[in-house]
Amino acid sequence: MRVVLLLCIAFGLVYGHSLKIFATDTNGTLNVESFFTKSSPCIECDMTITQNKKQIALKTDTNGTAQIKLISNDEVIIEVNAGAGHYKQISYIPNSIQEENKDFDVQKFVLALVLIFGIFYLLKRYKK
Amino acid sequence: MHISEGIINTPTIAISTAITTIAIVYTIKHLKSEDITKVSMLSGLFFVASFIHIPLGVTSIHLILHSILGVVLGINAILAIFVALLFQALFFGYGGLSTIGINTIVMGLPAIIAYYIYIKDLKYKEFLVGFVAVLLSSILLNGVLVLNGEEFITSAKIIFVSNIPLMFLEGFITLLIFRFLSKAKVKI
Repeated sequence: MRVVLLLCIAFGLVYGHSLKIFATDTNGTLNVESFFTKSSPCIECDMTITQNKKQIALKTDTNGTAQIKLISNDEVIIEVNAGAGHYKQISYIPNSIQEENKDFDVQKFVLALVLIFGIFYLLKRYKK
Repeated sequence: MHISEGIINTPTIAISTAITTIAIVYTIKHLKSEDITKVSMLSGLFFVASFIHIPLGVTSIHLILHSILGVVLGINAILAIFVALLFQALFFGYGGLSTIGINTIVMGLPAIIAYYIYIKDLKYKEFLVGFVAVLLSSILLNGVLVLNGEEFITSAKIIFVSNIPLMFLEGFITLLIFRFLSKAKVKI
């Protein structure tokens, strides 16, 4: 019984201090969440994002999250170092860039053009 | 040719934003009312050109046509490019709002240099303006990337090499456009 109890405590301690990384990507932006437990985010931890041999160093915010704009859908290696031996690495394959390109929005395109001409129309009226 | 968010460091963002702001305020202040329609039309052209993708091997390149803006608008090309980049960033995520300053410089400065090439009496200047504008933009882009960390050197090299066909393509397209405008007796 004592052994089981000690094992449970040991497992609980290890689990409680194990670093976890959760990554998602939307509209070409990679969102990474790093935490020990649900209520204990990895605050201002060193994060390294590697894609196509290009490495970018970041720090997580007070919620344990960090965002970065992706340049392609190639595999991303996410490393988080919380210090004192707490380190975790995961790989993640994004897919939102392709979706973004597929969803070329004609309405947005036309609206943007209208707004461009609108800005200059207002400028012309102002300059008169 | 667009630099995305999260790539360049804060001092570069601050300096480029300050330079672009000064340039935009200057051009708006000195912009003549009769030139606004031209600026507006060419801002629209620059916005649209980025969506024309040309397949190239496993990748694709898109037209920039900033040299045309430079030749036709002179310094006002900065304003036209800035407005187009603003809406590309807002609506399509090309580049980003924090990098709009550096992107405006990377594309605006070569556009203005294209103007000074065009007013010189050079052979094949119609080709040269397009070629040199993309070449200079690529050099500026590479410079920015390299200054922001050694990890970008490989990306910078790839970007430069992939832009070499675009230099020739833009040169050829500007040659055709300016020859057409010359035949149609359109005053630039």
